Amino acid sequence: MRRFAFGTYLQTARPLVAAAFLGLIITFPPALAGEPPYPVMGAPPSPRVQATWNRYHDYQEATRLLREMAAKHPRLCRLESLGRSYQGREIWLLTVTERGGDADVLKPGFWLDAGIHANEIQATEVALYTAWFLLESYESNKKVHELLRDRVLYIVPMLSPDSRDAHLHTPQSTHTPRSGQVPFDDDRDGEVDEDGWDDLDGDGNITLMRIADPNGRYKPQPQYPEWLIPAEPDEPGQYRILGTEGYDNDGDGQINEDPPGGYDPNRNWPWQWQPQYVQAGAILYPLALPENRAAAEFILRHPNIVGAQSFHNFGGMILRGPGSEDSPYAPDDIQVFNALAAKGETMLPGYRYMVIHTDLYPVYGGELDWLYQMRGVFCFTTELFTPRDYFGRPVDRTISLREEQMREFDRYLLLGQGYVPWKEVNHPQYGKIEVGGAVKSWGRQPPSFMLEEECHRNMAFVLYHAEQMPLVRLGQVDVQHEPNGLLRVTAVVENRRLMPTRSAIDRQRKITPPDRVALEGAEKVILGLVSDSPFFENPREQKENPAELELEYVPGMAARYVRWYVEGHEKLGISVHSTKGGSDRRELDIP
Amino acid sequence: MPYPVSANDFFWSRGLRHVVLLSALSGIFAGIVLAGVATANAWDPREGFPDLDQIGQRMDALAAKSDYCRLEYLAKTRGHRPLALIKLGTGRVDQKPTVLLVAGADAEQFSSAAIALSLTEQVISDAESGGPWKENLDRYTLCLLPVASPDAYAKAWAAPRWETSRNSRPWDEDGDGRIDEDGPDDLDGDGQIVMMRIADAEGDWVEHPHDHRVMVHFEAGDVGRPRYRLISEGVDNDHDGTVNEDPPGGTAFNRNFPFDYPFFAGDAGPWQVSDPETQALADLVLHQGNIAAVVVLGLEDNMLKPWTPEASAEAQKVKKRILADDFVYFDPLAKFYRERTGFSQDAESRGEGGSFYAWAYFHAGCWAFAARTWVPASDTNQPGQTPSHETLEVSSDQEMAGEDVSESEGPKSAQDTNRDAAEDQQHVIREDSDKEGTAGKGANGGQAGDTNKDNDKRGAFQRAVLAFWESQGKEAFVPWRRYKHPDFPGREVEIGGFLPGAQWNPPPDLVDELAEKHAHFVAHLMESLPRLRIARSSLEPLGGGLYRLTVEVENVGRMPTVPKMGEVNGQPYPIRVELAGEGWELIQGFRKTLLDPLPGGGGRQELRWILRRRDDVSRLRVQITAQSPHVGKASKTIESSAERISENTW
Repeated sequence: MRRFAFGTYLQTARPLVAAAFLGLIITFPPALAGEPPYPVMGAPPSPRVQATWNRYHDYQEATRLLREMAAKHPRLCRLESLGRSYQGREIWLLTVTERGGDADVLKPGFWLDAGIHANEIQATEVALYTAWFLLESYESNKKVHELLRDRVLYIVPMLSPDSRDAHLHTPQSTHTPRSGQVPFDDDRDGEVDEDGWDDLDGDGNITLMRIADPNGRYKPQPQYPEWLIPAEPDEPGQYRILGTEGYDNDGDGQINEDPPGGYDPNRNWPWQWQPQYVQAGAILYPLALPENRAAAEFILRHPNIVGAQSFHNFGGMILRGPGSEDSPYAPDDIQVFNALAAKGETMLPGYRYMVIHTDLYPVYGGELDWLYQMRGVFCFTTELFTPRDYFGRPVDRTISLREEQMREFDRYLLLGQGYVPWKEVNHPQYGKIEVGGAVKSWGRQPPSFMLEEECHRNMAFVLYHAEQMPLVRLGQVDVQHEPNGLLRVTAVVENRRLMPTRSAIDRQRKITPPDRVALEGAEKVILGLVSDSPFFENPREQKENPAELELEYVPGMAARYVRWYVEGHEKLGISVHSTKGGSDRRELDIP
Repeated sequence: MPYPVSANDFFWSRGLRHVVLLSALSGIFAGIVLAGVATANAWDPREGFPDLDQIGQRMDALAAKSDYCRLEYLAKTRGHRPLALIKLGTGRVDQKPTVLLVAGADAEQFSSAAIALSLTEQVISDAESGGPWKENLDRYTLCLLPVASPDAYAKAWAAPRWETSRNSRPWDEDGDGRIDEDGPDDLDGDGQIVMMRIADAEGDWVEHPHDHRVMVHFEAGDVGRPRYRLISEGVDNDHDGTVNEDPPGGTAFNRNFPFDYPFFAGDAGPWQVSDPETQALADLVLHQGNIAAVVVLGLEDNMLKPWTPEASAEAQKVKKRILADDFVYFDPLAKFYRERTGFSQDAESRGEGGSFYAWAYFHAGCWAFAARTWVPASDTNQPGQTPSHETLEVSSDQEMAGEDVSESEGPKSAQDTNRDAAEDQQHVIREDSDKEGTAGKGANGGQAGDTNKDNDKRGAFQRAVLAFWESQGKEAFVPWRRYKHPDFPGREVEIGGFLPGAQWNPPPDLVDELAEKHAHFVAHLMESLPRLRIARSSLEPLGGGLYRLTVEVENVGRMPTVPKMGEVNGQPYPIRVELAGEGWELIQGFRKTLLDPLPGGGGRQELRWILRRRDDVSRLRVQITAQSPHVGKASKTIESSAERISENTW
């Protein structure tokens, strides 16, 4: 089609213009041809939105990309802002689902957020890629098509947008800023954010400061001399490390003690929130941050959310709660987490499934604990980028070994891009010193050639996780005539997915209502029964309002059985509705 | 029947469920189902107290009239009502150490707003006539929030009358997907929501052995006596088998703060600090940084039954008891409150989980005092006589005889719709029959009261309330009447109980006296707060243009500059000492130094600097300032040859 159109155009165009177009065709034949010359596995065949996944997008570029996705796929997504960040940026939410059928909130929902720790920048790319891949694969891929038909994904690529731009556009290290940009008086001296890092050599990276000192306790590492390691106990050192690049801006004798922000947005969620003395970074009270509060308000309004992943870096971990020992997970739910994570470990080589408080460290007020404990959501925090990515060697937790691999990787794969050599600068307090170390884009983030793979694999795990969200369907329905003009209607309510319609914690805390199966069109329902077994050996009778039977839940890969005895009918129909498991409806044929 | 307000079962969920008062005036009404009659109870405990409009008008008038008073609006509630703060003081009120007084949060105690207003008026008038408050208001700011939960307060004024602390946030308390669909109902049409008691052999409640009006928790010694279930007045509006399980609203102010937050309690909100009024208060305390102490007029208490420390609790990671270091300063103030008010320590109060005052101490690092506001005088503790119950008993039995209890068919046994695990399941309808309980009630109940000495401590507070109102010539509860309840066919159901508000509010003519007592407490608290002084300073020449500056900062107040709890959480600002001046540079030490907390009653810290005089000057002049927003400021100027002390400024 397209080629024909251009052909027609060329015939009527003036020669000069024609020559220009010819030039374009020669330069970009595949793009204009519409079909790639060879079907590459993994990528959407002919995306409407052109995007590159071996680079990082700042807030503006990500915004542009999201707007373009919304504009080019209006039937599949909607872009809205959850609210404004502290500095006034939009907190974008892309709702991805096939529109025109059931309203979003009637479909089982998956929440995906990224970049709550804004320095963990590839998280945002995973979120953007996931949205893009789903939108661009809907027409060509059956699995994606079904997913968007039956499920809704709520994707928030930048939960801390102010700090994303701070990381990308101001001098930082790979570790900063973890905080958002809400001012916070870290040292309680009455002045706010008055003493942050300073880029002494003006290279855009906040690195380390050192000074040559025969009484220092550090020495160059022999293989990688730019790297300082502790001298042996009986060996003289050569350098003193002076900390992170910066000076005493406020004249209180301390360096870098009150940088912008100064809290941890992922310690600010309601469940088991504890103040600063128990949980560093907790800030003033739960959801004190405008970004978190906006997200929480949205999630509260969307009880259909049943699965979630929150993207972070780094270390290659699939984390579940609890964050602290005082609120264990329900055993039934742990089985579901285990099954999901086992698949995740397969799909994400080098990633390990871990429990936060036993395998990592205690966390009070983490987002995933709130999602699970207070919303009943099956939620993982995914720590992107595993050290296994360097050389495929088994993951070693020892920091020095890890640093050695990073230096080795830098030498052979990054060709020395990863570190700034030591360089002399004048320091207002210390005099002549040197600064140097890792650039801000190296350490926690994959390099360009690994980023796309990280995006795709994690997207694939999200799709698996989302696919395993509950989905209620009416199975076999049986209608029989009984004596005295009664009709007996028996129906199977199935959930052929891994996750139950309500997690055990949801049922225990009554977070969402029970599932409901209604018989419509009967004049009088005499008896309503609910059973766990197809043979109704020991059913529960529902005396109140038997036409609408309550199911406490439908477990994963299981069914519930309902039966009615009814009097008088014209047309009968059955509908099932589950807040987190979707809904189904059927008209009955009465023999 | 519409029920625009929510259940008073809120109260039962709060630790006061051990005792319930029910009136059973006489047998005259027994067995008769009456509607729309409020004969003996025409009295309304709200009479003489201001509604929201009147409170607003009084606040405006105060601000217009007095230079000491200004108003500030902190937020707008979900119900679009302003949250108005009174600031009393002189000069730069926002920069002085401040005591914050909060009232009107527990809206069933509507009198606290009137007491706060009266206190405001008394303080202004005293200050304006040159009384002791003049000095207090020169030194400190007193902030008052007369109505901390305006939406809940408005409910207290709505019809039918009803006790609640919840605001207007819609909330699906029973988690059934329907919102606010089953609140209490004024079944007998008397304009108020009271209680229902249902005869039930497995009920958790019995009558007090010596006062049949007082319902107390069943104990082993009560075996054989008639038992009841107690729920608030209403029907099962949504036919789910449970009565009044999802009342209208909402978040209760003193259940919404992060300290020991009652997760999943129906009145606690979706999460901590979820509503505009609680968030505004948290922000006020945390952001302004100058609030030294909070005093809450409400139904909570930490002074009658005072907070006490506990060694093992102190060793815990999460602190839940006052720290021993703070107790020594806190306890004398609590004692002062008890002595000044004369309130009985029997007064029952609400728990601290989610409350503002406990949060203020444990998280915000302020001194916090929960003032119970009004407790009926203890000398009226023993009621002179209790109305006879005998006639009623006989009538009950006769009435019940006509119905076959065993065939009673109530709504099904419902699942637990109550989100607070600690709560009793009082409103679940049970279908098990209870012949024995109803039949045996009269004889047993009567005998128990006749044979034992009156030493059952249960219900002491309720009995005191009852006696107090009797001494005032008023009836504090609704006559007890039989009601044919649609959800409990064949069962004896009676409607009765306290007049909404009668347990928590004094007669209006006590307001000024209570305000005066509380003003006295606040003044005493202000006089105890930390206060800074530059106790000693010297500038010694060392030779070669070098000088040693030594300064000692002292806390001359009774209380420490920071409560230990505040120090633990790093919340209140430490004291900052700054040097200013010209003609010198520092060669040791820094212009800005933060101090460790100074103990009360003369705690001191010495600081030293080394200065070098500039060549072109002959004398050094250094200004030393020590300050913290919640403590105040002291400063001194020192010169190298002769020391000259400037006035301490505040």
